[in-house]
Amino acid sequence: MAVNNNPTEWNPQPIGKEFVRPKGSFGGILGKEWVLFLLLVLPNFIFLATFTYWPLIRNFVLSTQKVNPYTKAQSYAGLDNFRWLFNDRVFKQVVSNTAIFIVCCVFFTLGLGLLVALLLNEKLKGRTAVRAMVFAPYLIAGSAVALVWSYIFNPRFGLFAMILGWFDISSPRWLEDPNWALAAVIITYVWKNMGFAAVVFLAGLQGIPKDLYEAAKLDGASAWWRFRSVTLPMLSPISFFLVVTSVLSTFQAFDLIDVMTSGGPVNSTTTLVYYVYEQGWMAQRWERAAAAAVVLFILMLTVTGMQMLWERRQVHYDGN
Amino acid sequence: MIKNVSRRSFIKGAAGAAAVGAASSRFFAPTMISAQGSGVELIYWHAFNSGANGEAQTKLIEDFNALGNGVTVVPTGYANYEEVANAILTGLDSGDVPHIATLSDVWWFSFYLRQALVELSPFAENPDDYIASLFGDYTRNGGQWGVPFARSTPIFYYNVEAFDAAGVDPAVVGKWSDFAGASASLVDASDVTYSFGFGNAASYGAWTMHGAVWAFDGRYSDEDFNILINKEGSVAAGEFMRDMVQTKKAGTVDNPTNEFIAGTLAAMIGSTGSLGTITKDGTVEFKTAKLPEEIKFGCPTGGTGLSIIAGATDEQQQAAATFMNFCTNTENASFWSQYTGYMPVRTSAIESEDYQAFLAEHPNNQVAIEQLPLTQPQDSARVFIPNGDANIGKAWEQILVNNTPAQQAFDEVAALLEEDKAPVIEALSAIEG
Repeated sequence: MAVNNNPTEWNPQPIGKEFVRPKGSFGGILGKEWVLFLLLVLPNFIFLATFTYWPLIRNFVLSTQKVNPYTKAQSYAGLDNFRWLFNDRVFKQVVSNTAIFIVCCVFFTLGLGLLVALLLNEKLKGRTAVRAMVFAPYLIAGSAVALVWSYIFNPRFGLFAMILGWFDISSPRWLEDPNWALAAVIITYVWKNMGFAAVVFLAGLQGIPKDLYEAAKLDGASAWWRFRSVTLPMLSPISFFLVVTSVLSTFQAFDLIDVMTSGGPVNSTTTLVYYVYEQGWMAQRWERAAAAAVVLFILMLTVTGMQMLWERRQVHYDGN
Repeated sequence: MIKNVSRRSFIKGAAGAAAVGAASSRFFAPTMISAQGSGVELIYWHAFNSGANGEAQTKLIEDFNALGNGVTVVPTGYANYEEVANAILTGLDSGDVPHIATLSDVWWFSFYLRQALVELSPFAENPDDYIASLFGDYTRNGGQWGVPFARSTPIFYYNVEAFDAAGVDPAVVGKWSDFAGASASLVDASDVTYSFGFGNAASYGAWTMHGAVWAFDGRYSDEDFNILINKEGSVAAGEFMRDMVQTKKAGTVDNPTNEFIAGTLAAMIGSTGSLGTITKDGTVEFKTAKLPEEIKFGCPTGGTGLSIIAGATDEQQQAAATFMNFCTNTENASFWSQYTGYMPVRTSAIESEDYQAFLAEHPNNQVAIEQLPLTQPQDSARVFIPNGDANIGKAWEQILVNNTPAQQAFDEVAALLEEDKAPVIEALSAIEG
């Protein structure tokens, strides 16, 4: 391959060919390149190391300690805190709540988001206003949303009770009944976050080349088949992005739960993040909170890893 | 930022950040302590940011700042006692703490064990004028670690229209078994949904039921941290209340005060601190009564006091003491009580002409004053063991919501309390010997 040795002359490399470093260029000396690399990376690395990795390591260490929160006396406890967690009946319920919460929230947020995006992608009257309305809940503070929905769910004077009353149906005791409380929080979460998914899906839909649909039509594909064979595959990068970010944000959902139920009744809406808060701030058992946070961390890492594997097999970039 | 990174690195970064966010157990409050010129800016964190209580708190602060005594109070209002305590806990290590704060019955002791409070004996004005039982709640190891401010007791609220409609003599609320006997008819004959509304753990269910446990001759624990919640009297109280829900048309609700205001409850036990809000916002005619007795009478104190947080300079401590004494002087103790329903914390406030005139016009507040001499400090399991309140409250939820037998629910929480008391006792012996 011919290489231009003049450092002042722009010399693009052919795509797909092996890159050959131009001799005498800025990065020609290995040491200089490293200096530049360090200068660029160091500020971010220091920030991340201080505020992310160091607390993470400290959290791992704390999870293996026995701590008196008052005297600050600390001693090594091995895996005792993890044993305590896995023997705790409430913790098992918390893990189960977390799984149900994440699956339902992600499924319904993305499912309804896609549905709304498909509708908004049509040339309907007032589409812009509807788009803004759909997105608005995402921008409202979680605690405000939670407060409003707490009243909506009230089984005696709430909006749902009133609507059900028109049909002579008695309202479930949403936030007062352990069988309904998690469903109520999920509904609120989906309502708040669906708009974001819809807007992102809409952007994806508008980026799909029209000629793909025209080609499919010429081949006699029905609307359903066009959706299945063109829309969904073309949306797969967007879907992947939304699944990953939704799963992670759902794992960390706190404000709605805190304001609507405080994890109750009878722990029925306590998720892992809320459990970490309860063990740490309320019970002041920081070591147990740290152990629960480690479990949360491992779960999130595992789920994200599984999503990466799924991405390799199912996500199509650039229409390929 | 999202635009400029690959999907993979974005996702990896997001996963890391999210997991670390969840794993990291500290959030930092902004630094707020500062001094300006010769004056002192006094940082005050309180739990009264809304409703009648919020209005009264704002007025006290404005009145104090208008004095022009060189001290300016800079307040931060939180939604409840827990939020104030959580914020201070978070700031203790970094020094981002207020000079003075409201610390509730279940939280001040935790800060005492951390030796994070200033001893107030040199600062408190006319200490003998404070209601002795309320002042004594903060006395420990010969020192004074708080003064009473927004102190309350639970009190029995009942819906007059529901009682009238059912033809039930209000005297039944004097005894639990009499009230239980009339409960079903209250629902049958009126528009209320429940004869009695139990709160959940988050709405201080363990506190509102504390008096009932004593009434059935039970205890959550004794003062030496011996856990008694799963013993005979407490279990009898638990079973009685379970039966109230199962057969007497009582029910658990998310927020008893809101429900009572909306007229869905015939009765509830709530804080005297809710009297102002219920009177102001309520649409139902209601009356208050002392807590029902059974084998005996029992009523705990509650609410919050003012404490000065360690670490403040001498000047800031002096300024904090000035504000503390201002908030609890005779005139302001009377104003605060009249406006909010919290107890007047000084004898001179109760005896003042102004307050006596108020009581004559507001018999519901009179009940709280009559009940005050009968109150006692709470059991240590609820107030001194961390999260004791929430854990006991959840045991009550098990009984009232899940219909779990009281013995089973209380046995479970007793085991938890036994475990959680260990660090408290360890720290206590290090401080008090």
